[in-house]
Amino acid sequence: MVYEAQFQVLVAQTDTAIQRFLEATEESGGYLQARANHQIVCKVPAARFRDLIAELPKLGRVVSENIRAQDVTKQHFDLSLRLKTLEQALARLTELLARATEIEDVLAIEEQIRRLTSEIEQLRGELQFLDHRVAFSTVTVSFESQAPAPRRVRLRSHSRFPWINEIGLERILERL
Amino acid sequence: MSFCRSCCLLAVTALFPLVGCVSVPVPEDFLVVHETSGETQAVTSDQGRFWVREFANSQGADLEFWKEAVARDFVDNRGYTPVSQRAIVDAADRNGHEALYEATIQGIPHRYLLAIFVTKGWWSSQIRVIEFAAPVEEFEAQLASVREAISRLGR
Repeated sequence: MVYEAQFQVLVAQTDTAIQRFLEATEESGGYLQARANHQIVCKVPAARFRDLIAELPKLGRVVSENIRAQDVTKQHFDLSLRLKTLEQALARLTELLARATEIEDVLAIEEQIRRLTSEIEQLRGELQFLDHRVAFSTVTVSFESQAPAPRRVRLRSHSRFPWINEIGLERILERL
Repeated sequence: MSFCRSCCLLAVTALFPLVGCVSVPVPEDFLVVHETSGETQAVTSDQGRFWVREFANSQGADLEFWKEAVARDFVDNRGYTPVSQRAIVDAADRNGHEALYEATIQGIPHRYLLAIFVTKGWWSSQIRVIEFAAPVEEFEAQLASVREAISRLGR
């Protein structure tokens, strides 16, 4: 499976949040792939993907998330099969080349070998790329800085627990 | 009868100084402006505010419950932006929770620290709440000293 996730996180300080997220990425065995302003793209070992995204709510408020999982088993199987077929063909051509005596035959077989070798290299590259996408999940996070003024009420204006209504930034500023 | 009364009086008199000795450690550079049993208020010469209080844990909920309830209220109802959170312990080895938030009050970004401990006695349970608030720059300057004071609570 190839995992890709995109998040938008509201934080108090973007630089601090990005730094902490990068540290968590490195601790997970991952690395920074790209950064543009306050958006970063990280690669993380698939086994640590969930651990890393679990760090995000600790950095701020996650306001949007989009996680996709793509099954690439068939794609991987098809590529492997094509590669195996081409490698077998290449082996046969190499044998033929060893037995060829006519110059024309040698040239024709060498041309075929060149073509197959190029295709095999291309397929190997695609397989490596696919293996890497499976091994390392992609996490894209946009950090946004905002310290909003306290809002009044979304679901209710007060906590249902009286003591919680007695604490908080507004209370301490009012009373001390 | 008179002997019993004297014994009781003696016991109360003997215990009284012990009760009086229980004080709340206040961070360096803070001045205590109000102190009663179970409540301490202190301020810096600038805009730092430090407040220690206790509330009856009448519902008897544990630390995990209150931690979530407070965070939900602060973030969902009041719109604070969470900065960080971590587990802490006081000097009596009680587990607590510390959370930092940021919010803009009257155009000035403020930081706010809330530490909570749930203490259980023989008859009742209490929620000890420690709050520290200041504009961002002063908050950062005082944070280490506030945390140090919190770690000495409960001695």
